This record gives sequence, structure tokens and C-alpha cells, in this order.
Amino acid sequence: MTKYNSDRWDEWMRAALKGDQNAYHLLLTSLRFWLAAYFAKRVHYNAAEDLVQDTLLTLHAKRQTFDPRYPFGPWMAAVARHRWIDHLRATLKYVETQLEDDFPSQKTGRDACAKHDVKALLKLIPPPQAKVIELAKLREMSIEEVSKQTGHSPSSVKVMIHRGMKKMMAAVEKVQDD
Amino acid sequence: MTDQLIARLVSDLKPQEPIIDSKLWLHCTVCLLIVASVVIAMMGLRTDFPTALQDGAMLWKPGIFLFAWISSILLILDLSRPIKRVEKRHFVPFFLAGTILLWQLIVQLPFLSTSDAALSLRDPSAIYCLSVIIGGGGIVMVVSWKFWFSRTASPNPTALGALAGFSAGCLAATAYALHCDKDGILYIFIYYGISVVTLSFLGSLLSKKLLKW
Repeated sequence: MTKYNSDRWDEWMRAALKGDQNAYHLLLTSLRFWLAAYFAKRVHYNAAEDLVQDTLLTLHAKRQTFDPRYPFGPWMAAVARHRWIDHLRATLKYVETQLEDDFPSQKTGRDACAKHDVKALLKLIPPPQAKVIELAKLREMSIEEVSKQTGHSPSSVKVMIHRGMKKMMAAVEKVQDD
Repeated sequence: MTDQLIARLVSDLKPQEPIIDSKLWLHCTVCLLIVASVVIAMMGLRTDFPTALQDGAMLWKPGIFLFAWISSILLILDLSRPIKRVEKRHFVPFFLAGTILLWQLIVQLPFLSTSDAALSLRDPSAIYCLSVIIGGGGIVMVVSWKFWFSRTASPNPTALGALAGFSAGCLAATAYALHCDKDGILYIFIYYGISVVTLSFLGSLLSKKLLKW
């Protein structure tokens, strides 16, 4: 028996599709721990529990798309991945629109999650853009301060932030396509 | 919180039939037969039916859209579940449709002129072509949406939505091609093309709202 009883997922899911509530309960309980581990590696711990619940809800709503001819594990991983990418996309939009340098956000929990995700995504874009985004969005410096520190003009800093965010969004879309 | 959610989901569990590929094929084939029957019953087969059968127009024109329709259904099946499994061989019917179109373009090229293009654009029967393909295809799309697309979880909802419109458009175009006696390649490009592209665009727009999961 594996750590999460994953060897029994196929059997439980097939029974759940036929309406077996006991099998479904075993499946969801087992998946809960697997999903918690899956998201703990990828997002800030504050967001992980929400994503676990979102994914369980998605599984419930879209369980008819599971093809019983194929194993359940890859299907579940694809659903979890979809939720994770959705979360990253929402985070990037939030960071671009909400984390304004002049108006520091009061939603510290959400900001901490967003910063955690952005930090991970900065590795996917060119270093100069990553540097500017890190200063403006993660360290919450003003455009003028970033401009002084990096030597770029304020308008250039704004353009670099915008382009960098777009590149990160494209990287997220690429992860989804792959 | 998660314990409560699990308890709620378990109590809400009802038997659920998985989406099955053969059911979509059956649904689409029935739709094609119904639309073709309606077109033939209300508008009739093309007036030059025997000649068109001899020179092949009765086959190649519906054939273009039939092959494109088959390919779009195969791709819809590939994109309906969270795991993307787009197979290259599913593009083969698309390739065949493109080959027929290219062959006709080459055959008709010497006879094409700007006046032909102008005539195509002013053809009074074109309104029927547009109405049948957009109207008939639209109805098929709505029915199929309820039957299949609303139950999917696609890794690429926009592409799936566009394919929903495209396949419905190709289905209606296949049926209308049995009645239509305009075999000019410009006519096909302009009127059939506009109708199918309109439905594809509509499908991709709807997908943003209705196929997100």
C-alpha cells in the first residue's frame, strides 16, 4: 500500500461514479493529503488549503470527464495542475493591478501568497525585468526608488514591469499547454 | 473546513455516467442526418444533380466539409478531458479537406477573374447559404453544447469552443452543399468560409464564459 493509498484510487473512483459513497469518502480523504503535499511544494502555505478545497470541488463537478479505461492518477494530477495554473494566473493579475506602489495593500495574507508565487515565477523571465519586478512588487519600492536603484528611467521601469508580468503570464500559459 | 467539504461532497454524490466518445459520434451523426434531411426536404437536391454527380461536384464539395467535420470531432474528443491527448493522426481528415480545396483552386484558377469575384459577392442565393449554415449550425451548436460541451473539462477551453462552432458549421455546410449548385471556389471561400468562421468565433467567445472550470 502506498502512502496515500494511490493504488486503490482507480477502484474507488470507478465505484464513486456508480454512486458508492463509502468509496468516494475514502477517495476524497486520501486525495486531501496528496493534494496538500502537491500544493505545499508549489504555492504559499496560506493558499494551499484553499487550493485543496477548490480541487476537490472541481473533481466533484467534473468527475464525468474521468475515463474509466485510463488510470485515475494522471487525471487527478491534470485537474490539480489546472487549479494551480488558474491560481498563478489570478495571482499575476492581482499583482499587476492590486499591489500598487503608492497604495500598499491591507490584505497581508493574500499579498504574502502573491509574493511567494511571483518570486517563484521570476526565474522564468530575463534578469533585468526580474530585478525591477522584485524591487517594485516584492520589496514594494516606488517607481522612482526603483528607477534610482537600477538606473532606468521611471517610464522604462513601468514598461519593464508590464513586459515582465506579460512574460510570466505567457510562461504560465506555456506550462498549461505543455 | 476540508472535513466538512468532504462530508458535503460525499452526501451530494449521485451515480454519474462518464462522457463517452461513441455517444458524441452518434449525436453528431444524427444531427447531420437531420439537417441534411431538412435541407433536402425544404430546398431539394441541387437542380443539376445528375451532371454534378458525373463531374464529381456532388462529392468533392460536401466532401471538403465532411472531412473537416470528422477532424473537428476527433479533436473535440481529444480536448474534452483534463488530460490533453491531441493525436497527430486526427489532423489527417483536415489535410484531406485542404487537399480537395487546393485541387479545386488549381483546377479553377485559369477561369478565375475579378469579375467572378464580384459576381460571387453579389449572388442573391448567398443569403440562403449564410442563413442555413449559420442558423442550422447555430442550432446544432446549442444542442451539442447542452449534450456534450457543458460536461467537459478542457485543458484549452477556447480551442474547444472554437471547435464546437467549427464542427457545427461544417456539419451544416455539408448538408447545404447537397442543395447548393454554386461550385466556384471563390463562392465557397467567401460564403461557406464566412459562415463557418462566424460560428467558430462565436464558439470561442462563448467558451470564455461557459467552458471555464
